[in-house]
Amino acid sequence: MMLSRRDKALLTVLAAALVGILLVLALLGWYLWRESVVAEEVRLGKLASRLGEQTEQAIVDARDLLDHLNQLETAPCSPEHLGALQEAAMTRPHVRAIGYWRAAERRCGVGFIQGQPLKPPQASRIYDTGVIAWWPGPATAVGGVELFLIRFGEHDLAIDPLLVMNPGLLAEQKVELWVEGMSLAVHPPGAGLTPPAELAPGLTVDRANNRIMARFSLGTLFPIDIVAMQPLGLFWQRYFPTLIGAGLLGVLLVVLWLFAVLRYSRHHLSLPAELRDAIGGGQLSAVYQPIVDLASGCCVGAEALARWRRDNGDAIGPDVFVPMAEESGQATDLTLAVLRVVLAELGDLLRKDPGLVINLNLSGSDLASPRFSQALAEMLQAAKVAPASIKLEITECSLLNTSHVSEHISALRALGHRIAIDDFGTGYSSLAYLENLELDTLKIDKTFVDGIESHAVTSSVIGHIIEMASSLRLDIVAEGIESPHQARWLREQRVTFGQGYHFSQPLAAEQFCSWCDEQTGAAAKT
Amino acid sequence: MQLRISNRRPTLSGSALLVLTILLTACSPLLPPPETGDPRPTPVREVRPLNGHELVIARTEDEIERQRGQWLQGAGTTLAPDSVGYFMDVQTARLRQELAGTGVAVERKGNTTTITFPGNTSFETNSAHLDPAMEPVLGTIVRVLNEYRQSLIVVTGHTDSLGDRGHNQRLSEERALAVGQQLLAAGIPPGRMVLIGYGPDRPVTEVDAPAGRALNRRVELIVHPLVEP
Repeated sequence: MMLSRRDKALLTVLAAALVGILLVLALLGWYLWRESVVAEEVRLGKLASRLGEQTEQAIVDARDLLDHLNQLETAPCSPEHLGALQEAAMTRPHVRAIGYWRAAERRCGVGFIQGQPLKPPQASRIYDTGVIAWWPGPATAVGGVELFLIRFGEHDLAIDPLLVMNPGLLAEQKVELWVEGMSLAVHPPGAGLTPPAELAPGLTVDRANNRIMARFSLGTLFPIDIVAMQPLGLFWQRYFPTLIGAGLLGVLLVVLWLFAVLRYSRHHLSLPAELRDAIGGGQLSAVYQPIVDLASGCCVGAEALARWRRDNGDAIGPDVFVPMAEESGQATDLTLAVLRVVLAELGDLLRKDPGLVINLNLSGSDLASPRFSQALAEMLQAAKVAPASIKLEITECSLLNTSHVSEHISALRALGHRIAIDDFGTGYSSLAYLENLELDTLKIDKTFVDGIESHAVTSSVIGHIIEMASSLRLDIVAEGIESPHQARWLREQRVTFGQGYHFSQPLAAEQFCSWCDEQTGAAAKT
Repeated sequence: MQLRISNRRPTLSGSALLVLTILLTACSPLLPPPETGDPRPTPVREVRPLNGHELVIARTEDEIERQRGQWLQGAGTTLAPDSVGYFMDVQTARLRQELAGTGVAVERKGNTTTITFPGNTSFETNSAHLDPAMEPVLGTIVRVLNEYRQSLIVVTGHTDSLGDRGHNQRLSEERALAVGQQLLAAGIPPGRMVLIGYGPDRPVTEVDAPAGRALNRRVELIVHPLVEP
């Protein structure tokens, strides 16, 4: 199926608009995503380093505390000794118990571990310094809480790893803390998080499980890994304000884009633009209003009238598109397009019958355009049509609005064309002015011819016009003759030629040829 | 802690346990026989009086078990089974802390702790003469072992792969004996110790180069926990 030019243009504009919107949205999405991910990475990175610092501090503090307790000079398990342990435990919320041992035997201590000392069967780490650590696990659990045990010399500490991490800092975050490659704490308890070894550093978006995971590694005193996890929903929620802001920006961009597209389409989809396409694409046609010899009824020629039928079938009248062409600077193109049609349709006829004259309507700008006269000459030469066969009609108004008119007219006449003044009587040209111009024909405007029916005043005006034309030795063509009465009256006034519905409506080229033949034949008989 | 009499392991009549009692003379270090190639068929196992104590040289793992049984029966205290792991860990940590910087390695292996004296700092090639610098180190070890008393100490001597097998066997036993004597002098009761020479059979490295051989010339103390039966 063929698409019309306008539809094609419309589709192009729509596609451009769509691409623009999609582009803006994609850009927006990308920007949002990147901003959010970067922000989230920064946020989690800060959280991770805080947690790491707290953990490191707690471990270093535990070691120093144990060292300090080992060096106490109080008698083991004396009230002074236990007092020191008590004080140390009180000042550290995460320390749940402190014990004093001889070899593998707990002698005394403070905290909740009273009856059953914790003796996990396998240490997680034995350091060269003599520090032993048991990472939280079932073997270190007391009352459901898996403790982190650390022993140095004769003392040991039981630490609740969850209390090492500041709970206010974590809030709803799911976090797991790994020290030396072993899980030290999970918040909230039981939250199964991916081991750090299986995660890339930084942020990982796990779309399959609809969550975001982050891994941060610190390694100042101990290698510490922090794994954080959160549902994507929470992530979006956190960045909702950014989303709104960026969304508004996006809407603004889309509106701006649409505005730009609309402006573009206004310009390119406008009627003048379409007319340009029509002229360029040869979509203009011509009809011919016959001009007859009023005395004999013979067909002497025709006025070529431009017609424009749009792709969608609408016919646009010359009263619309001719002024439009003049306003949009396409007047000369239009004139030449009509000439092209005339030469194509009636070339044969004009070559065969040199007496026949086709009138071509010119605009004021054609007159002043060197391009026009050059193209006119070239086209006629190419079509082998004599310049005398093409009469150029110039409206009275364009005469008055164009400078150096007489030079232009002389130049055209020198080429061999004859010149007619169209719509005469509607302007204000004086006789003196017309005298200076090399004119051949004067066409009386239809308004004066219409007046013939009602006799009296207007008839006297048309009488003056006829008189004036005669005095200037100009041929006269009366336009818009619609009744036999008008024709007769004009004949009586010795008006030579006439055109109008009384003779024929404007005809297509073929009809015009046959009509002309008929008329000439009929005239020959009488 | 409980004192327990163990008689669960019967004496194996088939494998002879030879007890070598060495007379400890202050200035008579046990010199090794001359270099390799000396086929002197000296019997290794002799029993010599040693300040009235007997140091046991075992030849098989069964003999070690027998000594463990005897020590359990005698003066040994025992550990509850669920305390063994904890005991070994804290003892290992304590030994590491005390031996930091001496080059002596302490490693918990299963339910034993192995204390390795590196050969290159302890023994010359073909010598059972203990570096005098090791004396304070052994004193430290004894102090910790007497704190963590519920164990049997197996002193194992090793040689490199150079030289005659029989000779290396004897050399490894003599190296074990040299360390055993020091432990004895520092306060480990003879009944808590078993000495055994493995010759070149248990190298730590297969590398047959001077550096590898130096690592293989060594004495290891293997601390076995005494678990209540």
